[in-house]
Amino acid sequence: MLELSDSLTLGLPLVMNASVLILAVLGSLLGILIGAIPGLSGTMAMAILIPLTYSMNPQQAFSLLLTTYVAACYGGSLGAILLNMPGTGAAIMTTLDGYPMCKRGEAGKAIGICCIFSFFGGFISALFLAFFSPILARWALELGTYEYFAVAILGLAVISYISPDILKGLIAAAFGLWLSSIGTDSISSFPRYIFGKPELMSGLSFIPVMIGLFGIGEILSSIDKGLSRGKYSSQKITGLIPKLSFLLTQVSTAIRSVIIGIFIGIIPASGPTIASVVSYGMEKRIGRKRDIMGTGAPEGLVAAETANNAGTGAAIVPLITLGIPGDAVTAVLLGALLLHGLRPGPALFIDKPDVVSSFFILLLLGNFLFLIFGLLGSRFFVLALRVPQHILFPIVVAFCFIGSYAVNNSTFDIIILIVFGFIGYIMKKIDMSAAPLVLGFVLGPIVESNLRRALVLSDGNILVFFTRPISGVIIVLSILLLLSPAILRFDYSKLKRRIVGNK
Amino acid sequence: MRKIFLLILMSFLLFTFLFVNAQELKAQGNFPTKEITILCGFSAGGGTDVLTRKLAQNMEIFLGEPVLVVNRPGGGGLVSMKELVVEKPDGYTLGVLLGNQFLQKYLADEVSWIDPLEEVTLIGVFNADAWGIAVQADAPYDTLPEFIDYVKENPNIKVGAGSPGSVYYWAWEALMDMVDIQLNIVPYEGTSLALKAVAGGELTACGAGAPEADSLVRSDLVKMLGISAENRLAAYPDVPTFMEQGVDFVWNTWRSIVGPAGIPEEVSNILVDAVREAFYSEDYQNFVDTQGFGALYLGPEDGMDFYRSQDTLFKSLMKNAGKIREEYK
Repeated sequence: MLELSDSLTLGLPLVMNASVLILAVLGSLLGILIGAIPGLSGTMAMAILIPLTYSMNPQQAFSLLLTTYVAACYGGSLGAILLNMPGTGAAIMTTLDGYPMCKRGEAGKAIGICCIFSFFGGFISALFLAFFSPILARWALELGTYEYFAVAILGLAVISYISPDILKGLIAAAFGLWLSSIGTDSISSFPRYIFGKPELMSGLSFIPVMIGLFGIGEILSSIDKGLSRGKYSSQKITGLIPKLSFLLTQVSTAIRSVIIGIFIGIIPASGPTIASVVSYGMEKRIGRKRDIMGTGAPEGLVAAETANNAGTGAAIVPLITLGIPGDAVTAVLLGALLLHGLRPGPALFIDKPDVVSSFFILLLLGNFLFLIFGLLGSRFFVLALRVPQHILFPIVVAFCFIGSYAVNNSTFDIIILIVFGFIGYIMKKIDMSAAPLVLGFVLGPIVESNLRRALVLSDGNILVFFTRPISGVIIVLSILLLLSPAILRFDYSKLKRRIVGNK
Repeated sequence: MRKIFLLILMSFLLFTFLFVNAQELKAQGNFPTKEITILCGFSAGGGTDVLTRKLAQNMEIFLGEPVLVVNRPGGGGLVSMKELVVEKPDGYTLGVLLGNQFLQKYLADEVSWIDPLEEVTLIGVFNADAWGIAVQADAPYDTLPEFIDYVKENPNIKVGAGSPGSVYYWAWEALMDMVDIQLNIVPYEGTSLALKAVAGGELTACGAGAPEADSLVRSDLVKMLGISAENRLAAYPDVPTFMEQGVDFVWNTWRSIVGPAGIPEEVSNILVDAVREAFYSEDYQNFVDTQGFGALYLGPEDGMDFYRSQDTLFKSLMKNAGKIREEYK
């Protein structure tokens, strides 16, 4: 059995191996690069890497996969800050404050903040995984269909906070929800909006939709505005390593975001993307700097990046303790585990404590590596800004096509990419944020299938959502979040006067 | 100068033409002369992917040419099948056909399905995984007959399964038909989520193979009532079969290698040998045993009989459950 004190020592001999460490360095560099390049995503990296790991031993395979996984989650913020194109789905929220900071000439500062807080989130979450996974597993077991539904509702409730224009945000979210209904429904296997295309049976793929909206869409609208030759090239790269006094001002935001990130990350099917959205939305609701968020506030970066990286370690909790993959990336990790004869679950902690411990160490190592490479490399990342857009954009477009194709080896996904590129362009043109659309698209299937399943389980009794304690709390919280602007803006003095006046 | 250039060009073209012809001649007598591609309809890292890659590795040894596995995930394998059936039937493009293609054929009419009985050349069935039942570890029943009695006394029992597009879902329907019980089937996105729901108390039971449930079994969260195979699995000798418990219920989800319809016999014979040799290779057998996959080999003829029996079975089950599309009602 894996004792608490052994969590991080038992696996050390397995990790202290030249090939494992070299693969960890490679994985980290590859992850940052793939994460940063708009178009290439962590999911794609995993899909390509996994067949390469078939001939490796478990430590080598996981060294490469885990470090790539966490580094890609950080790397996504680079594309978001420098180009307004999130490299990964989890970095969508990072664009909201990261790009305005870059335009203001604070790209270096933004990159430094993202690197440090990505590390903070990822590191704490990996520690949590290492020390508390048996406890977290028991807790994750308690969460079921009702709770998944409640969390998805919470995610939908924050939509109103992540869009500058509430009405347009809701329209985009509704569009996203509708898009998510394309494909075979998961409860009755009925095909919807398929039009005879077998490629649509599994629904629209997330990667080409996201890359189209944020990558191609952004490029089209830049062309529309007229290309610039390295507009921000004169920018000095300063403030890469934030001052301690600044870090201290972010502590409360970071801690809130870590908690949200871990909580949401544990829930299957949600993962880092939803974690960052909920965290950002919460920060915008209760944070001290809520009024300037969205205009280049560091708090926005801290909330988004801490939470999405906190989601990485947490997403591995249900995988390694119960054998349940939360998203596409952890599903790949599950495949890799099985292939090496490691069936995740409580039994793995008893049979192969050293192997489990080596995974924890690799995950921590992955976080350290991207912190080092991120801070060392940021000077070079910013050079992307000096590349004239007429050279940069064609390269990015090529990567968008490759990235969309490579996840499923599907030319159909390229068509989806192009269609959503135009949709993204039109949305930019009418000043509609695409983040709520992606959120609706991701949350739609979770809301739908868990609602339908819950109603089957409870024989149609809708009150169960409120009587189950965790789901009840989350749903009430969602309702409060939705209503709070109205409650807060209500003019109480008027009410008071009226009551007093009536006397 | 120009004449010389033209001459060189012409002779070059002639040479290439002859060479290509020779290649084709060689191809007819001596299959294969280049790499073979297997389209796998599921993502890298999944069960179908790893098993197909292992088989391909061993086919390669027999054929002496590379056998590449290319992932074309989507539509529960349908995307890869649609692509396969329009390929040239020269034996260089193959695919992996799973039992669920027979379900898709009858499920709903939005997409034009492929008909495995008409549109493919069966090369060989190379795996069959047995369905089983997992329940809470402290449940008051240990065998399938005891569970059936419990269900008869306690109506509205909820059991988990994959979606109605998966072969395992229909095991419950088949069992209900056979032993005359009523169950409430709740679909989940995958067996692992359903297993977790059993362990967490949300469900009474769920359908799962022995390997999938193993980890939760050994941590005393769930127990297996049994599996619906003819024999116990080598990797899980403690899990009994339903046949031992006196319930004659067998249910598998299986995988086969197929090509487009109309592969010439001399080519398909070589491929059939390759799959059979790969299946019986020590490497593949070891892999199957250690990973807990079920080993089943059927050649083209036995396989086609099996295909037909599955087709009739699924059709009647879906008809009874009212989930079949209009034209078959």
